[in-house]
Amino acid sequence: MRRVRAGTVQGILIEGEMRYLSTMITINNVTKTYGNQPSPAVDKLCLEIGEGQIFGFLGPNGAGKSTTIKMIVGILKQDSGTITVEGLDNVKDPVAVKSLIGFVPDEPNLYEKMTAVKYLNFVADIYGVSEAQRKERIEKYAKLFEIDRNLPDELSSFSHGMKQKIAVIAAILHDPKIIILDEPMVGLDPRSSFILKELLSKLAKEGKTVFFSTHVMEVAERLCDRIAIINKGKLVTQGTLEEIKAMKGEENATLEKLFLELTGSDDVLTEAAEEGREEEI
Amino acid sequence: MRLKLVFSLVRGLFSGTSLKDLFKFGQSEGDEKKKKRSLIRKAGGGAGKVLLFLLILMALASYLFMFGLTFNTYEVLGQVLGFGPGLSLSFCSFISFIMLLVFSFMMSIDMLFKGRDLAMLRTMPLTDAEITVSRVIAMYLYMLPLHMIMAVPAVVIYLLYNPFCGATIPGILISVLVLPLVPVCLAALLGALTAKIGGKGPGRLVMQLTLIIVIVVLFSLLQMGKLSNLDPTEAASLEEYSQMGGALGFVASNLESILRVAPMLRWNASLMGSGALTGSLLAVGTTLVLCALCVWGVSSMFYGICSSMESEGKGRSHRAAVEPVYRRSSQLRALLGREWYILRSSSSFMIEIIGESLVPVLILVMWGAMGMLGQMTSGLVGMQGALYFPLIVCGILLLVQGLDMVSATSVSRQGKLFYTDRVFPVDYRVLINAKLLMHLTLAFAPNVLYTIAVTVLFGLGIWDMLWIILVNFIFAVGMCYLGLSLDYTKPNLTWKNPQQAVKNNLNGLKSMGLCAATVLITGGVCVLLILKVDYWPCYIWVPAALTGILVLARRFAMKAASERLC
Repeated sequence: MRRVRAGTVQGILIEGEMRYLSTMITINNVTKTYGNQPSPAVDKLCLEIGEGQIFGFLGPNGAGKSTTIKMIVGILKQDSGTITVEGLDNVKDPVAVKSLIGFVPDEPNLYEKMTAVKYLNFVADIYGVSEAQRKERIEKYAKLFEIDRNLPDELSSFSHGMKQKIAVIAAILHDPKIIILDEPMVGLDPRSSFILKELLSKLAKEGKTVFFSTHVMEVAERLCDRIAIINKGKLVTQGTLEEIKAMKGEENATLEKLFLELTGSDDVLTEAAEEGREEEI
Repeated sequence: MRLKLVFSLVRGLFSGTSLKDLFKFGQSEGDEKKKKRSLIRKAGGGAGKVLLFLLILMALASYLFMFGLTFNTYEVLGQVLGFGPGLSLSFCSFISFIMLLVFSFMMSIDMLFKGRDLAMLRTMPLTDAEITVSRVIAMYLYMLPLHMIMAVPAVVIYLLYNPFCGATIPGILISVLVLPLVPVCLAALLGALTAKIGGKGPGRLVMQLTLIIVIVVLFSLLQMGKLSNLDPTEAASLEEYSQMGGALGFVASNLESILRVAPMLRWNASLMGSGALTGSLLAVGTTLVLCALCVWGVSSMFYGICSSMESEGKGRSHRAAVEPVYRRSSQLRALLGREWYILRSSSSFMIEIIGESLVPVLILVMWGAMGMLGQMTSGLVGMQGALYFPLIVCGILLLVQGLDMVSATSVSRQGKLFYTDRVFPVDYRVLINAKLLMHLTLAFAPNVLYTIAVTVLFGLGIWDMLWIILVNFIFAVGMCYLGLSLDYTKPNLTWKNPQQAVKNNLNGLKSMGLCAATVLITGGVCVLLILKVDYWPCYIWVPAALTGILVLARRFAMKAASERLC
């Protein structure tokens, strides 16, 4: 029995039009500390991600992006705080939460001895996708990513990029409401990267929520409806790009410049300014 | 060769697998619950660890005792038949040589050419020889404890019958530490040749298995039956040994011919006696030359084999023309299929699991080789008429089944892909059921076949057979849950080499110890019942006791899995 959805309503300006979306993911005061580390990897993080949004999660290395993602998808358990997905608590209803999510990890670790189609069939079985639906979706997405001819091949023969494509197809195979991707562009060639960005935009327009972490600022700038920046486990800022620019009072700044300022990497900016390369940033 | 670098590589291979690390219980991501564990639970955990350690120690002591008895027979027999002193050491070297050769060969390909660290190491300024030597040293260190279980009792028996002299200490050191290098290096060379000639995955695995079977068959042909009537417990006097020796004249000639073909085994016997210097020099010299040749052979093939494995399957597959099949299965069936793919992902896993299914056959071969088969068979035949005979047969089958590590290493075998179990929307009970089905297929099914074989061999009744199968089933399910609870509590997921997930996984050893303890305690109560009451209450007690353990083990497994997965 599903619980009553407890999502809040949020307004967002998309393509000049105000849309009111219900909250799909709520991260409330979440803290996570690894082993005997003195400081938490994620510290009292609060985030709300609305339905149909593309949410970019940015931060320097070790900022806590992957830890946050791992907590949402169920790989890690938070020490304190709550995470709800469509009103369902990730600790109390883990299986129901997981069935709403499609996850693409930072490393495409797959069962190497399986063929691509067997692996996708396996994932489809786990998520209970019907034969007709899996056939249609696997063929559609494999064609889109131009790996349809490789489906009968063993995954051990795939390159990193090809495995990444299979991981993406596996994540969207059960038509999840939420797609979470950890550094999805890593290892993809420019064409595949473009295809993935287009696909994510399309899925968001269909009402899916896309949450992804990235280091590529232009991807976040171009693709995301909302952005959150995290540093040393703490949320630095969140909002639309315009909101963040307005907050900083720098209407013409690029996301990269804002990111460097907000994450305390001003020294790089100063160095660039001294060498007359500020325009590049 | 830069030996300092080589030893750094060896240390890297063993990092996180020291005995201290293995006995340390897992800390799952700073879990608040675990941080707040009560003192009582901590004390309970400590007692559990001590109990486990004692069980393992007990099993080790029984093996040492068993080997000691056998070597004692050989030492006396050697003196009676005129072999001179040290037949026990020669025989120990022979047994150890074969066992180390088989077990090192089983791990050789994974160890030498499939480590996860190799991709990184091959880009570093290291020579192929340095990497190869570090891997062979690691294989040697993995095998050394097995050799010591045999060598230590042999040395003790030798010292009991022969005087201590100046050459004794270096002799012992050479016997215990230097001689096992030969089978390990030879196995590395055989592994490299198999990888080179055997072609891709399945072909290589078939060749690997064939070679192992050939070695075991050769070994059993040499020994089985020929030494089977040596009974160290009954033959108390030298006259009796002499009679046995006379009756087994062909045994002596057979062993003599083995020693002639492999003189190193005889040198081992002379290491500690008079003229020890020559023996020591010959043994150490030959060992080093043989090992150097083997390692040179492996390192000369290292680059080619690694490259071919790297490019394995990179070409276009012939199956590309085949239409993909989209067939729906239940979650349970899909997970069961995945277990099979995980097994297939490494030849170490396959060999380990297939080997475990053949444990009874291997034990028979080993008993035959050690001269215990005849004694055991005649003992069993003597009891055949007893009403409690089916209980004994059942006990033996349970003990054999307890040697299985399918479930106790099942979570560890998943390695870095274990995270998927946390991501998939699957109830942990379904995951456990999939592993249980796998366990029943691999551990219980062969046991049913063995039960049928034993029924035919000893003329047991159909009801006895069905009862034994039922008891074995309850035991199999219980031991599966027990193994899973151990492996879910502290899985080894970060292995660099598949060997670390199976053979070097302490959970397997713990599971074996607990299984043996279960059988021994249940059996002990049976003995008391037979002596004090009657034999028939045992037919109720055994399934009832094992069902109780099953229920308890299931609770542990469910708790461990839910803590690890949810």
